[in-house]
Order: sequence, then C-alpha cells, then structure tokens
Amino acid sequence: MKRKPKLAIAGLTACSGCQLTFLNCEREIPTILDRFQVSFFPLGESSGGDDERFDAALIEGAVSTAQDLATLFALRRASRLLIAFGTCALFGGVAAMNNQLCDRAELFRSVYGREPEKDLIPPAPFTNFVAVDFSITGCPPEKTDLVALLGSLLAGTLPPTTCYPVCMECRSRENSCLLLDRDELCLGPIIQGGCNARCPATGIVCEGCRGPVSQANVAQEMELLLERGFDREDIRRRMSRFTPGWNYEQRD
Amino acid sequence: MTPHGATVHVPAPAVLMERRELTGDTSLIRIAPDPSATGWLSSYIPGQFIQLSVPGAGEIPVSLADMPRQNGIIELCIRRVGHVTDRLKALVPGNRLGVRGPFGVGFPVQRMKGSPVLLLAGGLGIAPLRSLLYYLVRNREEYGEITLLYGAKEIRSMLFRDELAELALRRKLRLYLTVDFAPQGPTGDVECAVGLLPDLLKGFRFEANRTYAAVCGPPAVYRCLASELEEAGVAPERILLSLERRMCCGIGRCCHCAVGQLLCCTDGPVFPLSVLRQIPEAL
Amino acid sequence: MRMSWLPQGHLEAFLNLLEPYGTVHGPTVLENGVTALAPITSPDDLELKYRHTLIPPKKYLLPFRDPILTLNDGCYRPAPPVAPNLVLFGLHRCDLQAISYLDRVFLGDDPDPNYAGRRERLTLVGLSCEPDDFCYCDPAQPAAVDLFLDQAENGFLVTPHSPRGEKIMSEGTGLFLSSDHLPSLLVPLAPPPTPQDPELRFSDNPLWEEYARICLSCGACSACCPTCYCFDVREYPSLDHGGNRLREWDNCLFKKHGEVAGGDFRRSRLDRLRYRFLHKYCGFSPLQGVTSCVGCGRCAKACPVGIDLRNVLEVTYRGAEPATTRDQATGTGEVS
Repeated sequence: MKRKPKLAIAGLTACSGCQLTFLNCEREIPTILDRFQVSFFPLGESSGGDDERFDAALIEGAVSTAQDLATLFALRRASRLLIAFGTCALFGGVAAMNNQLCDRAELFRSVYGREPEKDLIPPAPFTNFVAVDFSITGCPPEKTDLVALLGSLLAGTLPPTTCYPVCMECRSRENSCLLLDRDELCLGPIIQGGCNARCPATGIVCEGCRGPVSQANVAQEMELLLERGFDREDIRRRMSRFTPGWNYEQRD
Repeated sequence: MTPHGATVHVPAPAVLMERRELTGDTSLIRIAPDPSATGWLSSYIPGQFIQLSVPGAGEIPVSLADMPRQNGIIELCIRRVGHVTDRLKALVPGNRLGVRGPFGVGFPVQRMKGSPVLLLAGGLGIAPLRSLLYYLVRNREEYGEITLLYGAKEIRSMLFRDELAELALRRKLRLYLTVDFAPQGPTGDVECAVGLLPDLLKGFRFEANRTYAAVCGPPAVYRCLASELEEAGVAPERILLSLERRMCCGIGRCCHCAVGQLLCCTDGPVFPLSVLRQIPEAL
Repeated sequence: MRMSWLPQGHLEAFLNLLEPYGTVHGPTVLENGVTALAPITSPDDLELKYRHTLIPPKKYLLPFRDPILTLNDGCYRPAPPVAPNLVLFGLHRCDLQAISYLDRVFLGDDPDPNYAGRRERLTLVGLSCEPDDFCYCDPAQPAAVDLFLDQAENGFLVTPHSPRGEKIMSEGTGLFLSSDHLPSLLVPLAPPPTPQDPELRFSDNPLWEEYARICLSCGACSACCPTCYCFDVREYPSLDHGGNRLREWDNCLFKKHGEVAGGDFRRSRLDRLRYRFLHKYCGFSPLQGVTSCVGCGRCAKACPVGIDLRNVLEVTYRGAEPATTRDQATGTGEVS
C-alpha cells in the first residue's frame, strides 16, 4: 500500500479557528484519517517527534514572537509543502490590524503593566518570512477549500486557484446588494471570493475576511464608499480589520 | 474539423508510455491513447492542438511534437510551467492521462505543396514545429527546400539538437541554429550562431517570393520575425504564425482565447500574418 | 386576426395546464426583496409587472457552477446534469432572445451535453413587459419561446410559437376565449445596440479610459447578463480517488481571464474592457457581426460605479423619444 502522506497542522499567533476548521470536517475526518497520517497537531493531540518530516504543513496565524518564528522555520524545514492556512497567515489578520495605529511596546505596557518581552515582533503575515507553496484564505477558511486541498494532496497536486471577488458569487446567489440597495459599507467588490458570499447571503456586509482579490481596484472602492457618504477612517478601519497592508492607491 | 462524438467533451483514456528528459524543465513524453481515440487522432494536421488531461490537476492545450504513429502513439513536448505540467512532471510510465481533440486549424500543408518551407522556431516553439518538420521530411518530394532556423536561450536549452543535426546531415533540411548567450566560447559539436533569431534571419538568403514561413516561439519574437519576413519579400498570406492563448474548452465556447474577433482554438492556433495584421492586439 | 384570450381569472387554471410540462418557475419577489425566477405555486406568487429579474434565466441552462466530468481512478466520465422538466413562465422578450442566442452558442456544432440536456426539458412561456429607463429591445429579433402572453387589462392574448405551444393551447381549449384584440405593446425607448464596428474599441472616446479607471472588476455585469456565458474550467480531486471537473461563470474583467502560464494577453483593465466590448457588441467567430446584447439593461443597473458600455457605442440612446404605439408587427417577431 502507498505510504500515507504525513501532515502537520499548527498555529502561530491566532485564535486556532483555522485549525478548528479541520476538526469541523466531521463528515470527512474518518476518510482524512484513513488517507493521511496526521503526525503533528498540537491542538488536536500530543505532538510527534521533533525529527519528523512532513509532506505538508498547514500553519495558521501571524508571526508575533520569536517562538512563532522558530516554529515556522522548523516546520518549513521539515515539510515538503508549506500551506499558509487562513487570513492571519496570509495577511496578518486581526492580530496585525492595529499595527499602524500604535507603538507595540506601549501597547504591551498598557495591557500587561510591565516591560515588553524582548522577542516581540509586530504581528506580520508569515508569508513575509518563508516561501509558501499554497495558501487557503479565510477567517476561518472554508471547509470546502480545506477538503479540496487534502484531495489534491492525495492526487499529488495542489488545487486550482481562483481570483473572483465576493460579488460574483453574491450576485449568482441572487442576494440583495448590500452596497447598492441598502447603502451599507460592503467590501465585496475587492475581496477574494470562494466563500459563496456567506455573509451577504444572510444580510451581513462583507468585512473582507478573505483578503484582497488580485485585480482589486482599491482606489475606486474607496472613492465609491466615500461618495456614498462613508467616513474615510471608518472605511480604513473596516478594511484593515483582516488585512492591514492595503495599497489604497492600487487601481490596476 | 473537430472529432465526432463524446471525445470532444470527454477526454479519452490514455497511458503515459515513456518520458525522456530534454532539459531540466522540459521533457518529451510518449502517450498511448485508447484505441477508440486513435481514429480521430490520425486526422491530425501539424499545428493543431489536443487537450491533455492530467487526472486531478486539469487540462492543458498542447501541440503534438510529431505526427501520430501508426499504432496511435503520440509524442508531446512538455515544459513545466504551471499547475498541470507540475503534476505531469511527477507522473511515471503506466500512469493515466486523458486526451481530447485534435482541435483547431493547423498549417495548410496541402496548399504548401511544391513550395520551399522556412521554419522559424524560438525556444519551446520548436515543439509544435517539429510535427510540421517531420511531416515535411516524410513527404519530402512534395515540398521545396526545407529550412529550419531555430533560436534558443543557450546551448543547454536547445531541444532536439542531435536529431536535427542528423536530419541536416542526411540533407533532409538546411539547419541554422542560434543562441542568445554563449558565455564560454565554442558551442560544442554543433555549428551555432550567437544572436537573436531575427538577426539570424536578417543575413539569410532564400527564395522569398515562393516560400512559406512557419513561425512558432515566444510572443516577443513574433512581431520582429513577421516584419523581417515581410521585408525579405514573403507574402503575408504565406507567413504562418502559431499563437498561444488561454484555450480551456478547445471548441470555441469558454471564450478566453479570442484574438480580435477570432478564436485561437477554432480559427487558429495557426494564423496567416495577413489575417493577424488586421488585428491590433494579435501580436 | 382572431386571437386567443386568456382572462385574468383563468391564470391559475393556465398554470395548472403547464404543470405536466414541468415545475413552473416564474418571476417572483424573494424574501430578501430581490426579483427572481423561482418556483410558483399559485398566481399570487407571480410578479406579473416585474421589470427584470436580477439573474437572468441562463441560471437554468448554465448554472453558476456546473460539474461537467467526474473522475474515477484516472478515468473521466461525463457528468450528465440532473435536469428536471421545467416551465419558465413570464420571461420577457429580451430574456427569450438571450436564450435564442445561447442556443446558437451551445447547440451548434458539437452541442454541449449539459446545456442540451437542460434545454430540451425547458418549456418557455413569454410575457410582454413595460420598458424601464435601462432597457431597450427589438421585438423583431429571434426569441426562443413556446407560448407568448401579451398582457392587457384583465387578461392576456396568447400566441403559440412552437408545436409544444400549440399542444398546450389545444389541451386547454376551455380556458381561451376568442378575441379581436391586438396585442397592445409598449415599444421601448430605442432598439438595442446593433452590431458595432470593432474599431470602436480603440476610439478616442474618453469614456474608455474613464471606465477602465473606475471599473471595480466585481463581475456583476456579466453575472447579471443574460448572454454572458464564458466559463472557467477547474478540476478538484476528492478524498476517495475520485473527483470532478467543473465549469463556473467567468468574467472577462478578471485578471486570470487572459492569462497563460508565464504570460497575460490582457494586462490592463482597458484591454479587458475592450475584450468585453468586442465579444458583446461585435461577436466572436462564428458569431462575428452578431451583438449578444439584448438590451435588458441589467449590466448598467447592477454596476456599482455606473458603467454603461452602451455609452461608448456610436448610437446615442439616452434622450431618444419614448414611443408608445400599437404595433402589430411585434407579435410576429417571435420565432421558436
């Protein structure tokens, strides 16, 4: 029988929500465990040996401590494929949303009442530090994307990529347009789709949890929202909730 | 002309028979399509393409690197450049593939009869031209002089060097090779110029008014090669260019591959320059 | 000319008459306030005076995401669609013309199995409409329809346009009264765009640059277009050695649309807008010289930044005199 591919599933600075996506695949988990050897998964079980090699490592979270960086480098070295798993890994996410607003050390002092630890790093997407072979976006990622990745790994490949915005699926689902029909601050036009417009379908605006879509006309979305009477600061706050690194001038 | 029946839409099973590494990222593979597919594959005209399925990864358009064999086996030259070819690179003989096609319009080999043919290949462009070359060589008496001008980045990335030299030795074709870079002096046992393909063409003397030119290469070289050929006196109707576009369905439906109002998959991929000159975004 | 008259009160019976031909879907207002084609259980569900549905009837023929092949141990097999018999009731002329156009694309040489499978199970019942500020139409254009209903006060004039239409009417003889009425049609503001000169894509109209600057590439225009059909094809292996290949609505304004490994043939948004213009208003081979715009106006209405590609056309549509005439010819334009 073919050797089962070995998986590592780990987290850096994050809420563990992406790793929970794995555990939420209730229907698929028996098959997944039959097909893969999940050999390193601290959240789900005790960890395996240090000298282990992995076929793929799915890592969630931003890098914000020296320990994060060490874990990241170790897993990069130990894995043939490194998968950025979720928005924090790709864009910094919630941990990084206020990077631009205040000094990290000051923040630490006011929260913990002591001097900051030496190894503090401003939270950053881990794609800044290591080469990534594939990424799954989303906060949390879609189960279907995770299952597609695992299916592709079994087939010796990676899933195909897409680059359409949330609006595409939102329209196809015949949702009422929150931006145009209800005058709400929706980021659908510039956010990577693939979530089947989960939020707008229930009447909640797209807050951008999946990060920018590749052809995003960011400058125009900003202009449009300003024209529709939203405050520039509110728009920026909304946009940087999951992705602090927007290029607000980007048009093409 | 497209093949009949389900094979247009559903890939016929095929098996990877053999793989020969040509360079670090390019290999020549032989595949055996299911007997049900060999009938329509035998209608292949050089320059047409097939859709090759790599199970699990998807499908890519690719021209045959030689005419299909009597026993149905086809040869493809594959460079590892993306999602599907990455997966293909890992396959071993015995693995399953899928084949649809052949699709599109190839080189007008009937109309070219009796004329000298000048083949101009840049880089991987040698692969689709190789099927034309072998077609011409096998029907040698029906065509005029056959000349191949082939430019590659460097000697190491020059494909099929030995077999081309062999053909030249047997006087089946006139062969002129050029490389962009030759950092370490001599280029080995094969005579080879240093310079770009259009420069090689500049100094080349041929019977321009009777010649058909077949061009395939990276998009960047098309514009200057086409102009050089026209200046040399080849009629634009006789300058045939094989274009690359994103062809997903192969039958003119997915609409990613338009060249002006023409579709690369059904009106091409081989177009005469006289047609492309009317289309500003073509070259 | 004697016409068949369906009194308003017979509408429910008429819908019942359609039932043997499939589940009846018609224009209705969804809970979220969106007008859509959806299953109809009683005439009360119908929104007979609707302007247009957000998503056109193409959703029934070309679903947003459509598995086309299944994969099993390295072998591909067709994935025939589960296509129930359906009656689409109340389609406007523009949408019927759009289906006629899609038929040309998907039922020509090598008919598309998934499209054909769904199409043959579709019965189309048209309904006259009142044009709005966004739409234009040419009643003389071919439309795919089995029966057409012209709305009038207290009822409908019914005309069959296909053998199936004739059959339906013959099955409901008691429902229809004979009438001398002529269809009373509101003629739209102007005819829809005619096929355009491809050179127009390079015109010095400043709108080209402006539209390229402001287009969000959100995809709404093509998602809502009744004739936009271009699709992406992707393959997904499953956890059990199987998998499927699917196609999904694509949009020529997305970056990936013109990309190949190592290159992009439509780098700028302006290139991509020109591509859209060329396909929509000039046609790609073999439909060169055919505009696929049926004038429904959905794209202009759905665009968040107010792009209306018709403004770059040579004809000025805005400000054209609205005309309301009785026009006998309109009833004869329908072909099936």
